[in-house]
Amino acid sequence: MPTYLYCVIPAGHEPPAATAVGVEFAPVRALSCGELDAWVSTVPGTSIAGTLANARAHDAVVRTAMSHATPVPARLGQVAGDDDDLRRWMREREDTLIRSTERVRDCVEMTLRVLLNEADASGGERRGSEAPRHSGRAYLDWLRGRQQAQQDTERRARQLHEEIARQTSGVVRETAGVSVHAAVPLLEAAHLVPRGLVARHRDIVHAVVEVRWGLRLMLTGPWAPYTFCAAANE
Amino acid sequence: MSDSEFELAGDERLVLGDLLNHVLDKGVVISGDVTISVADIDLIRVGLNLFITSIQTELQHAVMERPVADADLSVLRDSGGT
Repeated sequence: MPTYLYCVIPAGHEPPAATAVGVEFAPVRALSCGELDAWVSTVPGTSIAGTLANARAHDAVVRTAMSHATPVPARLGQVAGDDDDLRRWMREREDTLIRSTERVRDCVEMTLRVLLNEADASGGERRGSEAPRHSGRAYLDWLRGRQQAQQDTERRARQLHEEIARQTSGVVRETAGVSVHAAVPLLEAAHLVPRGLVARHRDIVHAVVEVRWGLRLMLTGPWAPYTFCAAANE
Repeated sequence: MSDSEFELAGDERLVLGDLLNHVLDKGVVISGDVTISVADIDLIRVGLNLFITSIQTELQHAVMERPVADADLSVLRDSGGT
């Protein structure tokens, strides 16, 4: 029977029976492989229904694993042919998976988004304006203005990101997924934060983004370190 | 860390969007009706065929226009899943 993978975790952590219901309402169990365990379910087919309920169930199992140790989470939909197939997959990547568990040990992921310009983000005139058609020069001016605005946004985002990185250097182990969406405009980043420093991290990011820069902060977490664990999704 | 310490912070809709963003990553078909937006900005886009992906993943893989015929995870497996 196919085996569905939720996460890989250092050996010795069993899913608690009371909360061990995963995708498709299947029971969750630990599958041992050397120094690592995989938290898995036996599922009826090699694909699972792509429902919101399954997405939530997947994350709930990973979240339960977080209360035992720091797992290397898999993405939704990782299905092996059977237990032996999954063990083979884990053995082939054992070094990488062990490095991943060490990389994220005792840490959680915080997802940070900053709206860089509230006026533009709510549909400002410049963002919604159409290209002028009455002359070529007006059109080129419009193009230049749009390009300049995007460059300004990207520069502002870089400055903000540098300040956040500087201020949070004592509470962030690693940063990933930094991106700027100039059209929105939005700065995104994922921070790997030691569990005991989550509250401190929130305070610092809030102080930098909302108090000092006066921008809208959207901070979610703690999450399992999905962004820092690509090894479980190969 | 206790369960209570591990509760999510932030706006409920944003948290739902982030849950999908973290769990899905490569994009997946969801049979449901979810629209995630903050300040009138769609952070997670829901197409008519219910193919959902994060904006970042869309930009990386440019797959938003890809037609999806059925509601399973073949897209994910085809793109390198186990």
